[in-house]
Amino acid sequence: MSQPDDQVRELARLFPGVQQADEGGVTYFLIPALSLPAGCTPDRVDALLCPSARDGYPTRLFLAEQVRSRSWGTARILERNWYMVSWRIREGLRLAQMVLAHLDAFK
Amino acid sequence: MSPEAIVRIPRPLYDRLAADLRRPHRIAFERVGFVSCATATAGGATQLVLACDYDAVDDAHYLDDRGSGARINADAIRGAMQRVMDTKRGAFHVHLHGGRGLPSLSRMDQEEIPRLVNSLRAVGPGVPHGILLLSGDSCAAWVWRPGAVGAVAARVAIVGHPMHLSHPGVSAAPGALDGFSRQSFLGQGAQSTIAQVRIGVVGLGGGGSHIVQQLVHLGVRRFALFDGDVVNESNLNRMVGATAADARAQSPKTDVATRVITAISSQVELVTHMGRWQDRPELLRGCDLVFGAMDTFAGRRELEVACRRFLIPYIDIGMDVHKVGNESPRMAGQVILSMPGGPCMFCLGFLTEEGLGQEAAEYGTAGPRPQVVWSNGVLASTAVSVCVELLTDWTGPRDRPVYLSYDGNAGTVTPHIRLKYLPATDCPHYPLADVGDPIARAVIS
Repeated sequence: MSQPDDQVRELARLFPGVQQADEGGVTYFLIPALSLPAGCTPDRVDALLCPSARDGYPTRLFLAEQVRSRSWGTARILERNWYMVSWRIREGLRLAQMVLAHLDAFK
Repeated sequence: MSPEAIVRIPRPLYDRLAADLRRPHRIAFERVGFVSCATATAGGATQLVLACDYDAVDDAHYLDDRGSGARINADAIRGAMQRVMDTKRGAFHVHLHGGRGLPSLSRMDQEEIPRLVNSLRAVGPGVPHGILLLSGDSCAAWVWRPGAVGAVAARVAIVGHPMHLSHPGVSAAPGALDGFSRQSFLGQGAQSTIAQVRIGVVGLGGGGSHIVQQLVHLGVRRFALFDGDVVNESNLNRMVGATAADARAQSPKTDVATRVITAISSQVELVTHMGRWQDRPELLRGCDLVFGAMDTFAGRRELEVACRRFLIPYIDIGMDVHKVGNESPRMAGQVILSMPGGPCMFCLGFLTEEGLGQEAAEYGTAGPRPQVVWSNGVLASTAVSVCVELLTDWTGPRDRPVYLSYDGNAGTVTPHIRLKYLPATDCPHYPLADVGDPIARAVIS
């Protein structure tokens, strides 16, 4: 599913190096070395934003490493293993807002 | 032993290019074309080459040369080079020789085509290029790997119904074809194909243990097995080969499967991973066909994604028992063949976002699912029959997708009703353009 150009450009401005790729009819955004909220270890980690519905969540953010111990699951997307946390954000956000809202899970 | 290169071609693409190559030309004796290929690695040094598109050489780009079957001009070669630069994919020169059986290169092919491949390598040094050569009923390939000197003969799989496997110079191990006279009706060459196919099985519990046992009886000799679980007492009601001693010792299910297989044949090439296949994905990529016998929709989705990406037919089995109110329990199951290029489990309506969401919401609270040996056996046997049909074509042409519905109460296995309403369109979820290692596109702010 394609995303509005202005939102994609905004995402790229806020998260330099972002790339997009498709799998299974879904477009994902790969954000390299995403800065995590203070206190997280590691403090930077590759992240994958799924801006469409997946597994009953309207959007999801996957991380390449496990950041803190809580209810984690795993997923394999785009030939990488990712960690995910059970965190639901409100719908209707722009792409960049989605990333920031998902990061609230780690505060 | 793993081949150095594996070339996979979806059958619809293969049929399209073969039909094009058979068209007569005004001045040339034969036609040529170029196949665009994605790449990946498949364990060790094995190079995967995944055909995803075909470009015919334009009629006007053939030269009038009576000394060769077909000679193409510089425009045709420049066009192929341009596609390599544009797509970052490998290019394979393809043409067709007459006759049957594994084709071999003519002296002129051996002289001329390496020069052409060198031109392709000049503009696409990081991807493999090569030659595909078709005969009336087979296909051979030679692959120039990035940086390598010279070409390697590849194992070729035409992925579709029926599967076709060929590998120049490689035959079944001595004795591997003995003892199968009772299944000779499968056809000439069928047992050799069965002995050469490499099959992956994910999940070695109630369903997977039956599948593995049947495959080795059938004559399959190359396996990649995945399961991270150990045997416990609750597995003994259905897991073939598991014993009370295994439950006490908490033996890995991969060990039990290995014991079952090697007790039937000592000539197997067996790779096991006691863990998630996602942690050894390269082992899966090297398989010609994969069975999945898993408990979750999410697990099925991930396995289908991988199989589609690497052009591997995937056969899924599963069952469940539902109880509504005071009615008798209803036992149901499915066998699905997810063929690259054909309808996927989303197209078939078996996987849905709603179902995946519901499963995720119930994660950890659903408790153990009912499983019994006889339904596991029916589903596993049905899945193995689908596999045999795919490998041998013994029942003849079949063009329908396979989605079989098991009714455990009625004791029937029938084509699923949804097949009647399946749209006659290509799968929108897994286009051929997405095969191979993922290609991420930079986003410009």
